[in-house]
Amino acid sequence: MGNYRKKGLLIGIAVFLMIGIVLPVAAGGQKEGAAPVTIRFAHMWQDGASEDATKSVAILKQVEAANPGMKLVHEVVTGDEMRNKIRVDVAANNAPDMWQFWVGGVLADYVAKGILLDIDNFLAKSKKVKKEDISKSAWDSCTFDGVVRAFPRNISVGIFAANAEIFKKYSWAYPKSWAEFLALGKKFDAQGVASSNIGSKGGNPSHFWYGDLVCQYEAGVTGTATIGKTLNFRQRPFIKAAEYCDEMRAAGLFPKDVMANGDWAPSIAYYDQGNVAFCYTFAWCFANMSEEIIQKTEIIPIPKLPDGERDTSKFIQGTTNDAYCINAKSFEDPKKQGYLVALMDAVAFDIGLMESQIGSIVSVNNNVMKQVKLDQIADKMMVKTLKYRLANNVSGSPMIWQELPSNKLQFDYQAALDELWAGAITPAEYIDKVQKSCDEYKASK
Amino acid sequence: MHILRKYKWAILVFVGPTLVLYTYFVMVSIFSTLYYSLTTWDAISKPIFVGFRNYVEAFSNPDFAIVLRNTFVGLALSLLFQVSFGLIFAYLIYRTLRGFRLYRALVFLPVVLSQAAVAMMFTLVFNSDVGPINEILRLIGLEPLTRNWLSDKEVVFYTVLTPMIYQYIGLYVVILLAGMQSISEEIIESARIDGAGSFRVFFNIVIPMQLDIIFICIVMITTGMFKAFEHSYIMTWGGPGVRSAFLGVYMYFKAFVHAQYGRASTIAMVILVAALIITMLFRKIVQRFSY
Repeated sequence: MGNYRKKGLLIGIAVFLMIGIVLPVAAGGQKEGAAPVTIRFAHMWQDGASEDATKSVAILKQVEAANPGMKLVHEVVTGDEMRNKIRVDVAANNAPDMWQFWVGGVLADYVAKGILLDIDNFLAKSKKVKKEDISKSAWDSCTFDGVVRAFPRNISVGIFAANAEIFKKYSWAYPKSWAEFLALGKKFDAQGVASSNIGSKGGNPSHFWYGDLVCQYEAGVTGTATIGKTLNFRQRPFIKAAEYCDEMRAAGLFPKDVMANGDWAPSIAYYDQGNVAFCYTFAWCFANMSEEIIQKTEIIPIPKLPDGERDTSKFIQGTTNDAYCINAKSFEDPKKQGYLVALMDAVAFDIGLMESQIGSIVSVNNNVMKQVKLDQIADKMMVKTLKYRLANNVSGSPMIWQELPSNKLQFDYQAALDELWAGAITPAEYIDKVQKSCDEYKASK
Repeated sequence: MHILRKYKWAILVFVGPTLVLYTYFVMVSIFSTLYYSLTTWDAISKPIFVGFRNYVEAFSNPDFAIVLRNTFVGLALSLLFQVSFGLIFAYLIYRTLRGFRLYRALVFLPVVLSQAAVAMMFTLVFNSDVGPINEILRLIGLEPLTRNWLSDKEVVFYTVLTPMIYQYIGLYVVILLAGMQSISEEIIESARIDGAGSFRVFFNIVIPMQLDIIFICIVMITTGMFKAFEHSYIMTWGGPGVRSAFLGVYMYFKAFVHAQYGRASTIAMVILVAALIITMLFRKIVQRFSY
């Protein structure tokens, strides 16, 4: 009897355990027709992290409120981690319905896989956005084989600037030539002034600075625009730019610790301390600049290289930078399509307008920018920047990173810049490394 | 065996669920990784079988050689410092008359901090422009020793290794301390009566009796080093280049940045095999010397 009781107890426990596992699984999932339609949107707006992010999330909540049949799931991932998240989600056959991303080479794999919607399908249904609102060059950055696969969001707006207070204090003139620029290195050192915030960690902000030197040559502009096809890094502008960057390092014009003061937040925090002479940064860092430092900051042209061909007051790195992607399969779902159109309309127009008015982005949508009043932009650094750009007719030059056709190429290019900035490799070794990566990519295709 | 046969159903019922979970999440994962290591796969298109090409390319890649060297040197230094300091601090706390719990808590404090927070903190500490390390060196007249701790290719690896070693010394102190507390006080008293001083007691009694515990610490340090990620990634992104990268960071970049999941799986298999070999090696060594 005792044995049977024990066996019965054991069987009972086993059955109980099985029920405990099976029941929650069976109970999960939506019952047909009962729950709202879930729309997953992966974006970088962490509620509360900044004014821009908080207001963006508020607009998204308004969209949800206006569409009671929709449940909006926010998947917040900031920075380069979004690249990793989307790849893993796609691998798991679990891509979000919509996500915030970048233009250019990073989209190529997803286009090849057929994941990204032809944006013309969205435009056909949009109530707030028309194709002609956005310039051809912005659309081109998201176009693959004649089909637009992502919705362009903003242009990257960069500045090279000086801390006017430091220059006034020591009666130094802003450098116009490369020789004047290099000569300042010793002067800064003698006075205990840090030269610049142009560090390099993960290629930021170094890859922009490097691109700005490359684009001082006419052949550099065309070489950059076509690097994705030529995969030839041994072009004169690329080689010369690397050599000039190494000159800057030797002259003490980078931060002493390029890695510690590299990447966006550390580099702008470094400049914001007030003892750094030059600042090179982009609009996504403006919100981290204090009012005090903004007042002292004067935008100036990048010094011209000895053999530079283009007027540096007329251009700086930056074209269309970010984009929104819509999952083609989600859009084909009739239950989701209407909600995706409403969401994309809000994101592309309402959030774009709000962000442009705050000054955190410059929208590619001309219809949005027409409604933005320059002097009412909240971010004072953005106001300064846009006034400078308008006064000097500054245009954006193409970016090497954006044109490189694979994630690995982009990473190898950025990692090699870290090494060049740190003096761990010579300019020739840098060119060799990046070229080797290009050759490996070519061989793999 | 008779007992096993008698209670086989009971054993199956209680071990079964765990065995199923372990098989699915561990064994299936290992064999899947082994399969993917023999393919080229970007996680978007279908994997393409390439045989051992990933292994050949990994071992002929100079970056992989640097990362492998970093991992093994890091392991050697971690074993040296974490085990030795762990033993010394554990013994000192063990022999302390007052404040035992306080010292143990203080030593364990860094372990409970998040690795990311510690890495951020040390990034600031080692910042050659604004951090205190160079400033202190200048103040005490050691300016020639100042470095660009996070950018100088000669020192960046040791800079990144420092917080990794520092943060977990406390963990091994606590583990070894627990082992020491199981040593019978009579043995130590007998040794003292026979004229053994603190050093003799420490080296001839405490350490030999702790060999099994030390082995556990070695296994933990080994697996920890092969999984090392946060400090390297946050402080320097494994850079400049891969000069401060470890296998875990390199594997992450291969998978999630390069989108080369086949090669990342190759590195995962290298980690698995290397960790197994080292663990078995130390097991043999410890078995030779333990009581």
